[in-house]
Amino acid sequence: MHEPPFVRDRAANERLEAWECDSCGYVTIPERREVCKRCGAYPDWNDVQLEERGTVQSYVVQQRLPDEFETPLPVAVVDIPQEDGGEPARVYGLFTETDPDDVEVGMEAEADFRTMFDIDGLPVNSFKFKRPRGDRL
Amino acid sequence: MTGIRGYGAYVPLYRVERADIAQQHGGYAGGGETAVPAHDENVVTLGVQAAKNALANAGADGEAVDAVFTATTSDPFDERGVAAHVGYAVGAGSDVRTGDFQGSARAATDAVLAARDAVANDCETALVVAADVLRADPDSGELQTAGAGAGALVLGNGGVGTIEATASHTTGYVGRFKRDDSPVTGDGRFNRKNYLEAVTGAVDSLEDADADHGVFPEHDGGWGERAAGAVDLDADLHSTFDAVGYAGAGGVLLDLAAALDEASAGERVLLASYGPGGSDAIAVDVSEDTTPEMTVQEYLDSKEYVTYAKHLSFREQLGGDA
Repeated sequence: MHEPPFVRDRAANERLEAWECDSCGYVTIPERREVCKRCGAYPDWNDVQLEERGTVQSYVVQQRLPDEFETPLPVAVVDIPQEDGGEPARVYGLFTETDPDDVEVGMEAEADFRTMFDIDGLPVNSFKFKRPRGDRL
Repeated sequence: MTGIRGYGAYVPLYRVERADIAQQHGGYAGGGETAVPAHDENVVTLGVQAAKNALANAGADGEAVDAVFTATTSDPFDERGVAAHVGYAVGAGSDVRTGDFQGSARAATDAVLAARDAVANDCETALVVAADVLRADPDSGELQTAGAGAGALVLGNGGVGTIEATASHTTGYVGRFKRDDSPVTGDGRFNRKNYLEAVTGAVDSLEDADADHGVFPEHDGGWGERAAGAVDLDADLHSTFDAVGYAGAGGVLLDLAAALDEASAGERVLLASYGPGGSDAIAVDVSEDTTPEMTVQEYLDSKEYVTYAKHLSFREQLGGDA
């Protein structure tokens, strides 16, 4: 029988649901942790909803990657705000449809639902960042 | 009378000029351009984009959705479905009802009619999503116009308009078809006489077929005008064919969104879909002047041209032969 991959991470991957440490406010996605990476507590984790956008904190441009990636590919550390306030989640994310010359630290990026890769031909969809579509008008 | 609470659309960023394709393969260079999905887009991701735009336009969140009906002619999976995945991605609850409509571009209006019936019964909010990513052989005439796009409606109480009347005309005539072992879905051939008969049959069955805006999703350039002429409709016609290409069921709700963007409160939009088997006519009365955050025209204007070679590599990554 085919075992669907990434079932446990679907809420994080497909809906940007994250978990917030109730001790220090640190937000984790997509990893679900026992111990808070920042304060070391064994907290209760609150379910929080992230917005579909973020701010680029830093980035590199990958020039040589396996075939399934489009190169040159900007890869960035992005802060994604929560819908209801609190600390943003800091993630490492792929860009798509974006010229590396258009990426800069501090830019607003849109998070778009895209295929990340496939397993046995079944696409695994999650979010990639891109230059906002409205900026291209 | 069922309300359209909101609507939305999505068109991929990339475009290829049809003249560039003709230059590579020879033959007649059709005018206009065709939307090319990025390497990481597919029927589900296109549908999710349009669905989120429609939900935002309706002021509803995914949890409010009681039913998700999706339509496509180009899902590469015989078994998997689309509706359940679109529903999950937009945040619908696990009690959501789903329906997958396929097999014809008419699947878009099949899904709209099913959603209307669900809302008339016990479903408060129904999400209808149509998305297509058509493929074509490199040396086929369809390569120039095999497009991609999506549209979505949120049906329920009140909102931007109401579905005032519907009529169907089912002939069983097969004009275009695709075997499941064939890469080609962008086959542009269809029988002109039967197309016009099916559309005329559906529209003439409406009690009042007069409208300010007409939507006749086109398989090929100029057929919207011919269909409007055949049903004697004097209205503003809306088509994305010259900018997007033929986008199957996705193109039906995409073109409807283009008309709703332009229609003012008090005006009527007449949609007539067509696919193997027949046509459905749907009359929508517009009651509000709101548009989604990105209109169809803005999606068409915010674009980036790709070369013939790049466009071909994107099509290959979609799993087609080209």
